[in-house]
Amino acid sequence: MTTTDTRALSRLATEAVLAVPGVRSVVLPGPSLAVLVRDVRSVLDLPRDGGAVLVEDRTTGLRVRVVVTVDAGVSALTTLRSVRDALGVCIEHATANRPDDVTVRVVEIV
Amino acid sequence: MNDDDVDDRHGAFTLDELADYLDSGRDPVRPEIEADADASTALRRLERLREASADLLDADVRAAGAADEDWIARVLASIRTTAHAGRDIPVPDDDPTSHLVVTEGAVRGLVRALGDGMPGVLVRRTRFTGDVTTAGAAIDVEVVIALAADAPLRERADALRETVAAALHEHAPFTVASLTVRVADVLTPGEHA
Repeated sequence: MTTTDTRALSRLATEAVLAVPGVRSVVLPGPSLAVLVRDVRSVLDLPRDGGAVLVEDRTTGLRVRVVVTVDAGVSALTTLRSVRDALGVCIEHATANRPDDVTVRVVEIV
Repeated sequence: MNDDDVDDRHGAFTLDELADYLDSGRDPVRPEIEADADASTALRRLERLREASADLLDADVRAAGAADEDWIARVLASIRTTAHAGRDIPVPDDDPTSHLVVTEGAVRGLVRALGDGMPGVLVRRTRFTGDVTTAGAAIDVEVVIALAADAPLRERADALRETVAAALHEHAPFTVASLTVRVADVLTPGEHA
């Protein structure tokens, strides 16, 4: 699949992140969360049980942001890198290009 | 303690300390804060700010016409998590296109959960001194706790220190320059621990 449909990419990327060992949940990306509450459901077509990976199609390339909570049983640093790698593979598979900018943020270690 | 802490004190307490106290639901009561006039004023303002923020957020949600209250509840839970995130602590990494971050709140929350999970231990505050926003920086960590008086204090503090050291080694992106566990209070029977 080759696409820059960011909604479809967001869904794919969210599934890829949730499949990474150590990831407990995907959280809505901040910081303008009040605005996101208003807009994000229709824009990103969020899954009902959580947040989603934010994918933006910019002139410089794809920008990907994800906020996750992780399992304390796995090193948060290992999980972070695994999420980054999973996103790279997922986005490249879908678009034939590596993302230009990936941000992965751990906000809770449970 | 850094310069910011000195500047930001309300009475004898920093905003972080007061925020942590509010997070705990003011339970157990900390008389030294409640008796501090400046700290009490700051606490009331902080409470009002949080209530106002929550009201605004609720108003936004209602205005959005969202019908799925369960979904909204999950979104609000996400927001609360992110709102307490604190500073971003970057993870040293060779890939220039990626930014890997563990938030200060995530590490603090982990330390709090580990401490509060130990019998007779209540974590008051976790402080990181040093530039946590610089990847791989050396950070001094101080965990301030209250202990129940029904067991040797030194033994419990040492056990917590060992547990926190292991957790930081596993999860924190910074180098721990020092780790201090400071017993600030001894809880009398009947107080929560």
